[in-house]
Amino acid sequence: MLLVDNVSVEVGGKLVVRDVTVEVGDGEIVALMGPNGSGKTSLAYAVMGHPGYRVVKGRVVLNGEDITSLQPYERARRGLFLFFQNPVEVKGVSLRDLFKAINTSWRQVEGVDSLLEETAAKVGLKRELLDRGLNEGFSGGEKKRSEFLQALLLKPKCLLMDEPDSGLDLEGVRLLADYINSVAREGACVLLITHYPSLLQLVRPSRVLVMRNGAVVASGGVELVDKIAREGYSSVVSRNGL
Amino acid sequence: MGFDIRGFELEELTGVEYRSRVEITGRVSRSLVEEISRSKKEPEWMRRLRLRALEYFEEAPAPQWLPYIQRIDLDEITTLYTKPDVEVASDWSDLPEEVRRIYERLGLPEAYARYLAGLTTVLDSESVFVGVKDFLRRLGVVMVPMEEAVQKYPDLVKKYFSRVFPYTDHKFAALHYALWSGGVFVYVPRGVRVPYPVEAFFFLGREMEGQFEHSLIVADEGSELVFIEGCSAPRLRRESFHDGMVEIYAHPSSRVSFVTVQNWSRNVINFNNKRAVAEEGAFVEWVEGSIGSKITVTYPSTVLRGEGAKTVSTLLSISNGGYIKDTGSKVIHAAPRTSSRVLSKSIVANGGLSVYRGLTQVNKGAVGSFSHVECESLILDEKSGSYTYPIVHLLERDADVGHEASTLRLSEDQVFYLMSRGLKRNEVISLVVNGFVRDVLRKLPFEFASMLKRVVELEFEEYGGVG
Amino acid sequence: MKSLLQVVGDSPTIKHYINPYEYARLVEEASRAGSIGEPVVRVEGARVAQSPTRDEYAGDCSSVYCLLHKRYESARYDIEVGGAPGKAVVEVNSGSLFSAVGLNLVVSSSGLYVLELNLNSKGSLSLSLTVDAEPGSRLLLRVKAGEGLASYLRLASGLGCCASERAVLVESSRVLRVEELVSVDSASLNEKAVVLALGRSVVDVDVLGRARGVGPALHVRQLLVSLGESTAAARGTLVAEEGSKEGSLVYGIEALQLGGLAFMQPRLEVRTNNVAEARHYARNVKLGTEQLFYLASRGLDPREASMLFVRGLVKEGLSDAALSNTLVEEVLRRVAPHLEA
Repeated sequence: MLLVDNVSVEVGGKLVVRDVTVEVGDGEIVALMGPNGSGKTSLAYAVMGHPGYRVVKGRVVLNGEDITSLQPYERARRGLFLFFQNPVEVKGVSLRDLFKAINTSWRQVEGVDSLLEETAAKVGLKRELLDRGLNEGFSGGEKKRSEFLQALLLKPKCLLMDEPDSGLDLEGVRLLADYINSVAREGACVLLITHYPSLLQLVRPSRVLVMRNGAVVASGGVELVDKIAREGYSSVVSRNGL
Repeated sequence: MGFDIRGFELEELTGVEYRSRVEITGRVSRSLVEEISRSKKEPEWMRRLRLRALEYFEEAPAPQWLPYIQRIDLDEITTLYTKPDVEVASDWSDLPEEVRRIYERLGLPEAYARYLAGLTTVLDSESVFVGVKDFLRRLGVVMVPMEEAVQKYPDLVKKYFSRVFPYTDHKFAALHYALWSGGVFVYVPRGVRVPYPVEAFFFLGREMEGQFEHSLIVADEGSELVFIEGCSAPRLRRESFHDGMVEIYAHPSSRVSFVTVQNWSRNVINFNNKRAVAEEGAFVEWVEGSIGSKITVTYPSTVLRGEGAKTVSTLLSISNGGYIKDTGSKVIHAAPRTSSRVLSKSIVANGGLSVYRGLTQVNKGAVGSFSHVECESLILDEKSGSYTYPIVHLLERDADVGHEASTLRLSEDQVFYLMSRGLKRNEVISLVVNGFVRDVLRKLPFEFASMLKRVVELEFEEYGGVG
Repeated sequence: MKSLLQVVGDSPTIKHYINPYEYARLVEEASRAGSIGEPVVRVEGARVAQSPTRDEYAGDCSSVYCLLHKRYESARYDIEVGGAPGKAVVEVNSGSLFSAVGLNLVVSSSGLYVLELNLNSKGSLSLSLTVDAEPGSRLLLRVKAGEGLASYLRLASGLGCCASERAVLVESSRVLRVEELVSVDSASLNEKAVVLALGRSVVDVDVLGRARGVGPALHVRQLLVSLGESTAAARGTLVAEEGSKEGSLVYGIEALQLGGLAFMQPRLEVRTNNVAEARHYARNVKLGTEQLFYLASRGLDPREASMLFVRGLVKEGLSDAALSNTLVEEVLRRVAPHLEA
């Protein structure tokens, strides 16, 4: 279970997230929507513990443990996974290298090499990309597939998915939706960030939150998604009187 | 068994094929320097500067990195200083007929009328035309021949002259300071943005001429200026020597663009010493289209001295025929969060040689600085060569620095492929060359882009003969 | 053709990272004090014999360092290794202020071979090493120079044909000048050199590579790691000779500054348009905040992330797994203590 408890986040002295509370129970999918620049990614970065995104108020609780002051790797090892919207390039470090390092460091997996290749095939990631520097020269879709593959291999307890569908083709989106539905069924918590409603037609979240200017301005059931799809963000915001 | 270290050549090597010092014969007499100073009615400090520079010139070792210049005979450059028999004019019609005709052929009066805010033309060693449009005067912008500036603005000149590029830098810099004549002084007052470019045009009219013009640009806080330098010379029978200098002082938050279109004739040996200092938040841009001359040696440099200062260099050089371009850009990051970008493209053909010599240095404390250098050369045939000698000095680890270079060639397979699509050989060359220079041209003001494009086309029109 | 290692001089682009005058003065002093000696060479794991022919100098020798070496070389040894892949250790020691020795390494093993060269003496050492390796061989040359006076290593090799890959690891706590000559004639050589400059050392590695003939490939990648208050310099010139055809030249330098300074000069001379590829690069590398965060989000602590990153830097450019793993392990062992925090 993930609890973001009344959290405010500062970046370079500027408040980018204000008093946000989100609770995602085990087996639950919560959608976080909102236009560009509304603070969704900042919130995800803060939950994962990026040093540049300071939690100046509130706390982050993972499975009953306050993780607000933990290092990002410690959060990862407790089962938190951030599916990056735009993952950075890491020159010279391939997916294969990464998983070998993870394997010796904190999460032993049998036959990591063959597993990598099987999973790559499953998510539709070209095999040669396993040996290229992380995200180096990857297309948008390839980056998503690489993130997807990593999620599959690490089997996290709680996923922060930051626009996992952008840049994916229809087939890719379907695969991803199946995955999200199945990890939720198996008891993982999923915070799904998107500003396109399309993925949410395939993944039906139990709750939908809308962010704007760093704050949650609307929340409700899945019907919000359809409304946003039809009438845009302003409709749900004004309806809620915010 | 002792030995004497004097018996050894104590210099480090890197494998380069040559090692010839430039042999400088002949002398520059003290009396010549005195004579120049006297005829210009210079103040004592300038006369002293010239003489100190002359002394330094005599002592300094001859440069050794220019293998292809074997000899420069100063006595043969019979006229190190030539004062054309023309009074400085501010109206074209005041110029003698034959001089005016030269400039008309070069299209200068038209350019001045159409898009320049100011224009200075230097014939041989002296300025002969200085036009400054009224609005520029009203803005308080000073644009006068360097000599006049020494007389009229002694404090300003004394403050900046030789501050950016001291004569102690190298032998030819010293020679320049001893003999300088002509050139232009530009001062842009605080906050003034000059809306149109100003131009200085240099023309070598005679053989075995030395041209040593000195231009000094001072952009005061928050000001903006685009300066264009044009160089040309008719086809002369014997070699000429050009050893000019440009100093730019960019005060905080100012922007200076310096654009050079160099099209000296094929027997000019062209040294051009160019350096800028950029203070806090200032921006200095060098654009250099280097087409003509026999040998060109020029490395536009910027010292990023104030926090957040930026510089961009865009260089395009063409060595078609047995000509040599030894160019490059140097940047010293001497303050935090400074940034530099260099894009260099060179084309070599018919036995031409292009050398890129660049320096990127990040001083200790210049944290968060960024530098990216990109060089590409296109070699059109087997007789031509391209050398790239970059230097990266990192004295600070908190910086982001990269240099990349690659050499492209035009292969017979490519030519064949394109010809199979119905193009003639020279059309193929022109297509490839145009594609290669496109991203450089895109960075230039329109007038120069189209002019340079035309020059490039002319240069390669005949290349490859009949298809 | 003029000489290979040529004296160049006062170019604004040539810098003396190590003052050659000081080095020459040091030798002169040793000579005056009568302290130019014969070094003691101890070899483990290889056949060794005093070489009858002194100083053959494939290629030329005109740098100050090489000239001094030639003048004072007191002995030359043949070191032959072969048969099974393995390892040889060569220790050079001397009680004198200055001593010079020549080594001819002959490798007739086609597997991975590791040669460890330890410069132990506190005095100045001058070493000229020629390598004759079996075509297709994999060689790791590990040079370790402890604290001591300024020293010199010349590394020359002749390659007639066929693909070959090698790694050079230079680790130095002293002022060390390395000159490397490689030449490929219708053959290919892939080299990765890692330079670890420790303490207050200055390590200056200068490579001269020539590609001739048809389809020569010469790929040189240098990784500078400057620790403490050291200075690491990598430079050199790769030349595609006139008349060579379809050559491939790649010269890359990367600098990882862990406290020290880094100087890079990858020079390229292309003297023909008949090249398949000619490119070079020089850049600094560091693990930025975003990359650290990304790897941390996958559960790696900063130390693990840095190690992973360095691993990637070291193995880049090498194709042989055994060679790259051995090099990686060697480098990581040395660098790991400096990657804390």
